[in-house]
Amino acid sequence: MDSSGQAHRSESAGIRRSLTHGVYLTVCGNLLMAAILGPWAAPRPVITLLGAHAALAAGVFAFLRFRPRLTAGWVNALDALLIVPYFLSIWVAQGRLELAGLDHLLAPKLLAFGWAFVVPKSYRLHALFILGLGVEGVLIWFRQQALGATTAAAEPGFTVLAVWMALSLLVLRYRQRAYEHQVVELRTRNAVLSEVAGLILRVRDRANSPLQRLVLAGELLERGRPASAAVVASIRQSVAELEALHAQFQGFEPFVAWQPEHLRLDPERKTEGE
Amino acid sequence: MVERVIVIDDDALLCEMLCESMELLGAAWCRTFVSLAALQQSREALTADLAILDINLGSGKPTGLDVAAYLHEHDFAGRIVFLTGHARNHPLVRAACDLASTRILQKPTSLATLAGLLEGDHG
Repeated sequence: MDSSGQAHRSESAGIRRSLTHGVYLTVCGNLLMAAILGPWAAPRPVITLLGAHAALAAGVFAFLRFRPRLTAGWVNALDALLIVPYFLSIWVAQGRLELAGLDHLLAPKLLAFGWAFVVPKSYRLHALFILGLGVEGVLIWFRQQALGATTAAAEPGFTVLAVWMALSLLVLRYRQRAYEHQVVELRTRNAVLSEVAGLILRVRDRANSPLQRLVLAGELLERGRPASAAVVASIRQSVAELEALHAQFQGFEPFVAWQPEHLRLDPERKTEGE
Repeated sequence: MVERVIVIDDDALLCEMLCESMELLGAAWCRTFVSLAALQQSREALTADLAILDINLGSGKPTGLDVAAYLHEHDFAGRIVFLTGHARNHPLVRAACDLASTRILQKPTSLATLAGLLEGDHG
């Protein structure tokens, strides 16, 4: 298997793994939230919403198991399918969290970091979602203020700071992935170049002896030396070896992609007296 | 002026061509050998003034480096020149470069270069 194919397979496996982690986080996060909220207010619509979101994540998991190939569009759609319902459940569950004795802006902060860590494909999409969490957090804070509910002293600044940190983490991870891609690409190119260089040198090794014989035969004849049996045999043998080498190259014909610069097949020749 | 030359190359035709060239250029005699084993049969070889050795003498066979070691061990007083078509960073060529008082010639080499060897050109 060639190294570029391996790199592609490894990237696909990474995307699939990342989506699966997203599924685990969604299922566990929703069940945990349901467990926290349930005993206090028994909020049936909220619990139903969380359960439905967990079920949706399980559906994504099943889809991943049965769909062998995923395009970038599919990956982003599944990613969004896992993430978007959070905006609704955070909004609906916020007051309940307060009742449970928790900071009602805890969920946006935790999710912002979770979405910065688990990025299956599009960093832009996750940046957008994290920004959305920041906006939603601020809106929740305003709403709580308007309702006269108690809010933490450092809010909404603390939520904005958490979102900014999550975005910074996302940018760092994006750069790291870009570097990793670059390294893989360079390694692949290096391996291909090394293979081609090895092939060219092996060809040169095989052409060396016939070339050396032809050079000496030519110079001996140029000096007026009569063609001895050795010279004639050398020329014949050299031509036969070069023809055999030439024939071996025909096997490479199906692999070539002709570029415009390859269309001039022969090196420039100068005619005598030019 | 170099008078006696030995050529060791697994390519018998090239050996003959090199010897024919050397004799044309003024060498008194030139002997060819296709392997270390063949060289070891000849006492005359050790009296030569110049040894032209191919580095690669065939897969799994003693190399030109082994021939050079044999010549040194047997008090060979002439010059040793390696003739190779391999890249300069090939392990055998690098090892040959590390040997003292040897010269590496890249294939294809010309009659002029060979004439220089006969005239004692130490390159």
